[in-house]
Parts: sequence; structure tokens; C-alpha cells
Amino acid sequence: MPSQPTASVSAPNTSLSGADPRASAASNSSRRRWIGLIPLALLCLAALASSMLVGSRSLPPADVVHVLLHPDPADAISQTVWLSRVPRTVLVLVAGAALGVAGALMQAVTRNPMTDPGILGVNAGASLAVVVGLAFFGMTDISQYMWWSFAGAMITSVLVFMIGNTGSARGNPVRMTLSGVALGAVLSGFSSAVLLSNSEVLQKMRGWSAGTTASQPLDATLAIVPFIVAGLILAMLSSRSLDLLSLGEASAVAMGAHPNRIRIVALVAIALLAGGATAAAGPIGFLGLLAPHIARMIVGPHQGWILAYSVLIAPTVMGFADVLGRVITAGEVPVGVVTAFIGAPVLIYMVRRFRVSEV
Amino acid sequence: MLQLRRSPSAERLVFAVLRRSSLAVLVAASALLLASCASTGAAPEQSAGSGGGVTLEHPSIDGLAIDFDAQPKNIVMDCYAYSSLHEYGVEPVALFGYECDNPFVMGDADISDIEVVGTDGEIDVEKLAKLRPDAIIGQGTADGWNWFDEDVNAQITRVAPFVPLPSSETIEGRIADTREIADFFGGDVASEAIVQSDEDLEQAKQAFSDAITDKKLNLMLTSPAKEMLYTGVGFAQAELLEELGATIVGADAPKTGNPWGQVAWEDASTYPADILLVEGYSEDFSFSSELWDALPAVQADQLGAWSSKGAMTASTYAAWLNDVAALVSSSTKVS
Repeated sequence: MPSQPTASVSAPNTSLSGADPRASAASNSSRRRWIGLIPLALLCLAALASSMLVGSRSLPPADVVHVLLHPDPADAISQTVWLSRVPRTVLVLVAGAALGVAGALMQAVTRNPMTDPGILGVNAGASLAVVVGLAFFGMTDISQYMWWSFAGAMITSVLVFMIGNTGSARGNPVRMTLSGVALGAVLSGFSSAVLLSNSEVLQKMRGWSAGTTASQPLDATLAIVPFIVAGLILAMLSSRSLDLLSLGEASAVAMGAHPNRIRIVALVAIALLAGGATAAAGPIGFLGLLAPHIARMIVGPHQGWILAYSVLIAPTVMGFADVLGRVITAGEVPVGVVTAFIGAPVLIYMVRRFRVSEV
Repeated sequence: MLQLRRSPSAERLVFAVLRRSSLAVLVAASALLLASCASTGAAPEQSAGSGGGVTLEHPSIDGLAIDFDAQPKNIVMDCYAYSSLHEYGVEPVALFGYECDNPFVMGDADISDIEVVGTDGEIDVEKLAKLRPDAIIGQGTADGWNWFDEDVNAQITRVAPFVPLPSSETIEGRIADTREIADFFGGDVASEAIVQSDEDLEQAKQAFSDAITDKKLNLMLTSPAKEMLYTGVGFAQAELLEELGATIVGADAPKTGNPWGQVAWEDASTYPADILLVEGYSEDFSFSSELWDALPAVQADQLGAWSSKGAMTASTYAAWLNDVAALVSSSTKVS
């Protein structure tokens, strides 16, 4: 149920006697939102548990628990759990949360509910960096090209910001979105040009470019955790400012905010989050679009709550999508494909069934 | 020692996808990507045309007859075709396609003086047309080259008739059918070297058969990728090894479309392989994944090469079988 933004943008409490009905309503809303986090957290735990217990290889849950407690590097079941399911589950949690929050931030900064890391060109930048690293710098495995992907996402974010948010028309969210789309198209074109004439590179980046949790070492995922944690902290610290920004540039300035500073901080957070997640799992579409939408439908246009809910919703969706991808065919369908397949219909259903909240 | 590089059959189809869609969708059809090697029924027969022209009745594609106004002399080939046909002395005026620089595919064929009209999935149709070729030979179907879009195939087949390489179900069949194609294009299919290569192949078959009978090892033909492990059960190369006494393990191919078996990494260790033949394996093989590295055959370094493509000649397969026989002889039971 959509509701109005609370504390940061509501009128100050001027009542001199008794409880202000608006303050009371805000308090109730806040309580409901806190309570709403509980089932979401449980759902997220269920997704992570299913990621540990369900896979293409059928393992009794008791065996999974046993090898979790008593790892044996020579045992095939232990290898399956420790070399596949544990890294994948951690990746789902880390990349999912990062993409969900990155999407929410992007939608807030651009004031456009249809943006996600893909729309702003971050995925294209990460992909091009990987292509360049593979084609021209002799990289061979993920531990190397992960950092290229990260750098590509960061550089693209900065470029989008510079192109879309400087000059006389700065602050125009449409301009920033268009900058992302345009830059993404250019970068994708470069990637395609290299790939069309280099089949070896294409072979190497095939799995990564689909967006998959398979074959990602735990160490590689853990290496990006500090960046994602930093991004999450920045995002949470920005939430009140983003609420002000959502009122519009002029209103935000009138209320003492510095829109450009807000955008820069948010952009750094986006780069850390989307760059880290894309580096680890490849470009996964729709998650950054879907999770904030679901969150906004539940909590209304309050950035702090949208971010908090997105942290739980995105890994939940990604976790169940990944598990579905593991069992749906004899091999596996990459999670990036599954999220697109289930994300698009779900989003269309939500748009038709519910009122889409504004950013 | 064979020097193979991964046969990029997957990439070929991806290139076609790339032209129309974004990278994000690239590997959505990952399971379909390796699907370019399916064989067709074969009824090899060759006949001459009438009225001054000649007709090639394709040896492995039933009912396909390709008419030429005169005996074709100017021939453009993909590198797979040249890798097979150069042994018979059939020389192209230009080359295109994949793996032209792969020593295993090209063998001792020297392509340095041959014009190149295309690289990988690209071709310069204008350059091709300027050469006025009489025929284009390559891996494909009656409709054209496997990895060109429909519109590109429509253009190249307007330049010259396309002759698909044979795709018989067995290695012996493919070698024989390729020889028929070579014969049609004026190749010497009865030279001493060719006769010798046939003898070499028979000896290599025996060598492999002896080695595998002694060792009783399981072999898995694979193509590892980040997203999953692909296995080559049912490929002509696997069938040949099986005929010679090997036990081939791996996932069966899907019933339709894709000849590659698909194994999620979690399931890779459920196939008891003592030797892994890796498509494109060479000394600089660099694939790594924790579950791949944990496989007993990988830990024992019992890895060898195979290719789902490459020169379809007796000498190539004799060399390959000898290499695999040597690998079998030096390997132990680890599964």
C-alpha cells in the first residue's frame, strides 16, 4: 500500500496539545514497515536455504548439514556443498542485495522508476572492460577479469554522471538517463566489435556475460564484499537526502539540500554496488528494476525503507531464480536469464494489478 | 602431439545472435550454442551433369544436387574445408571462416599466400564477388554456411553455389564423403600419401583398441565452460572410440537440437571418467573452476585433446587416435 514520505519531508509537528494525528499515523506506518521486514527476512532466509539445499545434484538435507559441519575436501558431496552451493549462496546474498539497492538508488537519483544498472550503462561498461582485458591483456580467469569489470562499472558510472549531470541543464533526470542509455549503446557496440572478430574472447566471457552464479569461487565473492558494504552504508546514509531530492531540484535546494552533492554520493554508492555485483556475477538484468518496485509498492516513496526492503527483496528473487535455473533443465539456466524470464512478467503483472508508485 | 584449440562452435551461433541482440542475452541460449555439429543422413553418390555442365550429387545430404555450368576451378573455402581438401591437392583462391590459424585444424596447410575474404564469423562479400568463384565450400547445409545469417548466405549463394562439407554420422563416413567432394573438385584421392594415411588410420585404430582393452578406462569428451560442463556423448569422435572398445561417459545430448550433453558443475563428478578429452585442449589450456579442478582425472592430469571439427582426413584421425592411445597407456584408473 503506497504511503507518503514521512519524517524528512513532512511538516514539522506544531501541535501544542495532545498527539498530532499525522505524527501518530507516521509512527504507525513506521511500525508496519518494521513488521513488514520480518516476513521478508524469512522469505530471504528461505531463498538462501533453498540455495544451499537444492541443486541439480540431489543431496539429502542431512548430508548437506553434515558436510557443512564436517568438511571433507576429498568427499564429492562436501565438494559439491563447499565448492558450489556455499559460494553460490553467498554470491546470491551479496550480489542480490547490491543490485537491489543500486537499482533503488538509480531510480531515486534519476527520478525515473524504469532505470536499473543496465539502463544507465553500468553493465555495458563492465562488459567492455572484461572484453578488453580478455582480448588485449591476456586475462584468463575470473579472479583477474573481475577487477576489470569493477573498474569498467565505476568508470562508466562517473562518465554517465559527467555527461548527464554537468553543464547548463544539470540536474535533469531525463538527461542523465539518456546519457546512460547512449553511453551503454556505444560501449556495447565496442564490445560487439571485438567479439565479432575474436571467437576465443567470446568463448571465455560467454558464461560471465549471461549472469551466472556457477563456478564463482568463494574467495572472489568475498573480495568484493568490502566494496558492497561500503556502497550499502553510503546508500543508507543518503536516504534522507534522496527523499529531499525526490521532491524536485528546487524544493530540495529550498530545504537546504545540495542536489549535486547528493547525486555524487549516490553515484559512488551505485558504482560500488553495481560494479561489485556485476564483477562477481556478470550482468544480471531486471533485479535492480524489480526489487525497488516491489519495495516501493509496499512502503511507498520513502527512500530509506525502499533501500531496506530492496536489500531483502533482491536476494530473495535472485535466490529463488538461481535455484529454479539449477533444476529447470539437465544443465543449468544462468540466473541472469531466469531473472529476466520471471522478472518481466512479474513486473508487467504488478504494473497492471497495482498502482505504480512514483519515485 | 596434437595441438587443438577449442572448436568455437558455440561462438559461431553466438555471433549470429550478436548481430541482432545485446550481450545480456548472449548466453541465454547457452545450451543451444554448441549445436552446430548435428549430422544428417547420408547417401553418398556423385554423378556428372549434362549439356556441358556438371552436377555434384552431395555424398551425405540426401537429394542435394548442385549444378555447375562447367567444372568448377575457382574455389573459395572455409578453413575447415581447406584443412580437409588440401591433402588431396584441392587449392582455394580464397579462404574465410574460423580457426584458420589453428595448427591442428590446418595441419601442414600453408595459407600464407592465400587471400582471406573473411575472419571468424565475418565475410567481405564484395571481395568474394570480385574473385568470381565457381564454388564456395564450407561447413553448413544446402542453405549456406553454418554461421552466417540468412541474408549473408543469400548473398554468397548468389555469388556461387555453396557446397556443404559432408556431415555423415561416422568418422569413416565423413572421411569417405570428403574424399568424394575432393574427387569432384579434381583432387587426387588415390595418391600414395592418401593410401598410406588409410593404412596409418587402421594401425592407429588397432593401437587405441589395444591400449583401451588393457586399461579399461572410462573416457569423457568434454568442453568445459564457466556455466556448465558440456559432454560429447554421441559425437562421431565418441562413437569411433566406443567402437574401438572405449567406455564413453557423460550426459546424453538433448533429444532435439543440441548434440552436446549438458552437465551442471555439481554433477560433473557423478560421471566416472578416468580420462578427460577436452575440446581445444593444448599446452596453454587455461580453464579453471573449483569443481573442474577437483575432478579425479584433472587432479591426475589425465587430459587429452579432441575436436568436434578439424580436418576430416585419415591422417588427422590416425594422429589423434595415436595420441589418445598414448594417453590411455600412460593413465591409470582414478574414477
